Amino acid sequence: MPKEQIDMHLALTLNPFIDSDLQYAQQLGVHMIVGDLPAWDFDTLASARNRVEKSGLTLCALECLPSAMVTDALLGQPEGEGVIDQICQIITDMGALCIPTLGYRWPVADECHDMDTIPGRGESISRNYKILDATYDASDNRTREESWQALAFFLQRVVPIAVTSGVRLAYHTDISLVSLPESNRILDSVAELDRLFQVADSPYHGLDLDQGFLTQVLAKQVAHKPEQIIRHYCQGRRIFAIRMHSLRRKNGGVVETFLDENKVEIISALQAYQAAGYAESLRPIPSPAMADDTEWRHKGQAYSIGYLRGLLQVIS
Amino acid sequence: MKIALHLDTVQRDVLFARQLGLQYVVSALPANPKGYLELDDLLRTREFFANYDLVFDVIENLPTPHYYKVMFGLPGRDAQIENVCMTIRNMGKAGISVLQYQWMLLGGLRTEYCPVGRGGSRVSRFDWEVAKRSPIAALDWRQGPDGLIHTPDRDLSAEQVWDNLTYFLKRVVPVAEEAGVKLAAHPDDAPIPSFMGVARILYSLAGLQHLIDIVPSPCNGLGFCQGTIACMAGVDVISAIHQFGCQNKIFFAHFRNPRGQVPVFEEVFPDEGDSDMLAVIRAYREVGFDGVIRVDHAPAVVGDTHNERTFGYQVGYFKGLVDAVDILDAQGAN
Repeated sequence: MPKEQIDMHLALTLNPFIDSDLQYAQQLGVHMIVGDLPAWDFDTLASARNRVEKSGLTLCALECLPSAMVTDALLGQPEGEGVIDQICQIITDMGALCIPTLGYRWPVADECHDMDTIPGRGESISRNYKILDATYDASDNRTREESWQALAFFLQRVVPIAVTSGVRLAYHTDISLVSLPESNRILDSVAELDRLFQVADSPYHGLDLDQGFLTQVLAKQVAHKPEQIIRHYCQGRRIFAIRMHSLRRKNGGVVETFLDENKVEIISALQAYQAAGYAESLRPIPSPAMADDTEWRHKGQAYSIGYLRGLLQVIS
Repeated sequence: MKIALHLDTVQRDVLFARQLGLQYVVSALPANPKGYLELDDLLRTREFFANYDLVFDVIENLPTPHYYKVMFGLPGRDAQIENVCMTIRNMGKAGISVLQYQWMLLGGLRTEYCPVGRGGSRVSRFDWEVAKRSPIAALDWRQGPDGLIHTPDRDLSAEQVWDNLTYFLKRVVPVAEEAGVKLAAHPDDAPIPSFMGVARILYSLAGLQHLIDIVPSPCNGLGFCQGTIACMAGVDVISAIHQFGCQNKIFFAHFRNPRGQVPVFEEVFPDEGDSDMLAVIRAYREVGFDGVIRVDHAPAVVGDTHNERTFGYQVGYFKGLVDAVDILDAQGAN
């Protein structure tokens, strides 16, 4: 067996309380687990970590704080104060348990995104994120600057706790942002992401980067090639995790495809990550839904993991 | 590369293959009581796959009940040979160009299926010592005209088994040439020289070369089961690809990567076997192999009711290797 020289580690997002999913990861030779947890109290975190480790795997991150929690936190004082305390407690607990990375997302995208499905290859079903025009009536009427103020308030509270706890906060870039009108959205460009790290600049604050978001949103702006963006954030040691996601623009939307349908782009990206010394986790976002697959898409994920392993073996 | 799965004519299976982005399939047709595969059945099968944009160009395998008397040298073998010729002519008419067959008189051999693989996956194993102790239990494939396990009632020497194969090839290869059908012999799995007193002859590279040499023809070649060949004692699968690929004798191949060689081997996931699968793909490309290559068996994955998780993983791995090699080579050429 050839030694995998590359330092990127294949990972899967799963619920550590489902034994068969942990076994599934082991069988596919995946050692890094990103936990998708049912609850966030200390006991749940502790037993999640123990279960993963007992299976000989590593719990390298927790996927995302619940959107509802972050939404409440972003409301600011006084409503958000208690929630921010709860989030700080989670971070402290994670530090005590040596779970190194915690994702968070801009929750507005989650609430407002407009998605339907369209047929993909071989009658699979692909998610289609519609790109909305400026007339969209968003439920969230904050201006960009108001959104930034709320986010800054949140980060100024939680990032110092993350630093003292030794837990890295990873902003979860999110393709569903494309469904928000531009007047409502933040964090949709390199400049916006750079601002995120000016607002809260710490080695414990970085990105859980969606490759499809990188190519379809960040790199769509003038003078940004995907490889440059990858270098930019790798050099700043801002990338804590990568989600491999294949997206294409089609009929006014952004459509998911199987990874191999975007093979040139995916391979170029992996080469760029490797060249920039990226040495953390790489996990597939579930592919288009295959016939008779589970909700979690075990078949599609098996295919994606196999595909990424093949690519990594050659690239390294 | 023409990556394929072995599928039945079932909608679920073909959609699975299409979703994985495959364009080729291999399939078997059941043994026909008439003793040969009928043109209508071949056309119907081909059409079924064509409706899903899948090319069906390889039959895997010639049903054993159609030629077991030839393998054993039994009375009635000439009638069976006539029927095999009919199958070949019908394939030619149906435009299906590769017929894989095997010459394992006792079928495939495995001794254990144990949950000792990665993540407790259940791997198939062969251990010659175990097989000697419990020979009947090691007969892993159903054989014989009645579908039951065939146990030998006499010893057969390598010379006798070779005679039977030679007798077969001399009569069917000319028909295959006329029909434009390639006969692809699968090596003996497990590749050991004899079992229960019955010789096995395609267990070494020398044996495979001998098969090619006894009836020289562009239609006489190999179903190159990479897994079986990698398990042959002392064999390097990369050199084997070069040896037979350079003679254009690889008509069809199996993508599989076991661990170990005779006397003990086990079937693990393709990224953890003994062969460097990247080097394997480069070797196929170097020799200009352009036939269909089928993803073969590996351990089952938990919760996998239709083996789709394990095959999805394997197809992904194979395609990942091939796509990356293609793109890196194209980058290198620029």
